[in-house]
Amino acid sequence: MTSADDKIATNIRKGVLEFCVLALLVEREMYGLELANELTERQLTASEGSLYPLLARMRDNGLVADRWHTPATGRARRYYSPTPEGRAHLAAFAAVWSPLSRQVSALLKEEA
Amino acid sequence: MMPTVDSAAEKYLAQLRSELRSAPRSTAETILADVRAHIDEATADGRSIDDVLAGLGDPAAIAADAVGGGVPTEAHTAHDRDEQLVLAAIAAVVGLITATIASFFTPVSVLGGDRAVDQFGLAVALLAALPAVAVAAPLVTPRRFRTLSAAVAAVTVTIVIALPVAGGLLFIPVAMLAWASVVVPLWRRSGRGTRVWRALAAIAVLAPALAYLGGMASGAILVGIMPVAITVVALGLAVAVLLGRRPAYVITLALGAVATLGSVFDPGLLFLAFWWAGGLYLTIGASGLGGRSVGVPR
Repeated sequence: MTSADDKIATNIRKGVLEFCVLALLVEREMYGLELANELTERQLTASEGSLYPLLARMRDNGLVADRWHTPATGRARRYYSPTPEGRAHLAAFAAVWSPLSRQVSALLKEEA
Repeated sequence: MMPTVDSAAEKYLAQLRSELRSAPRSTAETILADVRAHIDEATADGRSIDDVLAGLGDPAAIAADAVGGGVPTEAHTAHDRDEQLVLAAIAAVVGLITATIASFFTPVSVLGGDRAVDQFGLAVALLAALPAVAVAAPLVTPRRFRTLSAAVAAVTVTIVIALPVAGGLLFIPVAMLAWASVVVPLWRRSGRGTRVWRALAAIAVLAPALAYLGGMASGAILVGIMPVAITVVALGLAVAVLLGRRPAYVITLALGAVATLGSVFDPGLLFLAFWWAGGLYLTIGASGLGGRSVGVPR
């Protein structure tokens, strides 16, 4: 990607990242590195570090909760999970995203 | 782990900690703990430390997101907006009441005599209305200019207080609200001490009660049930405010409204005292209700 493409991608990602995090957490609770890996695999984030301030803000705003858990094998980890408000927030986003992305894609097809 | 991994990681974390120094303490600690765990887990999984740190990115960028740069989550912006508008709206109402009193009721000098409007004409009424108009401006200003228009309003009100004609000291409550609408959102956004804010708010809540006690001690005010009750309530409120309990701010706001309106409709010797105390309580209550991170611990 050129650096101009980078900028476009970064700005779009910034807008949707918290909802992507919520969508992942709705599937199952995850710890930091898990989330970072999932997002990186899907190319939804350029820097893994930016995940952590986002999680902190989402926690402050009541969208996610966290708990410490020690699985049978492995170290203790901070697992994040969505709150009811987080789920509602995600549902609201989905309701907006569906028609919006359809419209944008349709326009781009027209352009092509 | 090899020494080089540890030292590279520690260096990165030290840099991140330094960049996070202007973020709220608990937020910074959470982020540092999470990033440390991220590094530990990723290197345990077999990634090279350089790869992990490169993936995390520039500590300055991470800190910028934490301190208030980046895209704020939806709930955050809404609260910023609400707080400034709530303070502006309350300030406008108090400003209108102040302007009415100043122009049409207060005598020009303490010795009595003509009302300001009788002596100086409608121009005084307009001047007295200026603060109300100024503090209402942020309500209709686009968000980008809101802080600026709030600052202009605060300065305007302060200047009007300094002018001898329009009943200056009466505008102190409006001034308090106007300055709060500028300072409090900025304070919160900068992430400075929640504890400091709460301590200041608690002292301010206690101040009128202490003044009352002082009045009783000097004999100027008769000891009675009312002053004692007021002191007890103020003490309880101050403690609740110090602990960051949201209901405390609601109660403070309500008491402020009662004191302000009460002093207007039932003015006595202590009119000015209740008027100012009312304004102070309105300011603290409204300021505390606006932000989550200021008033309420999570």
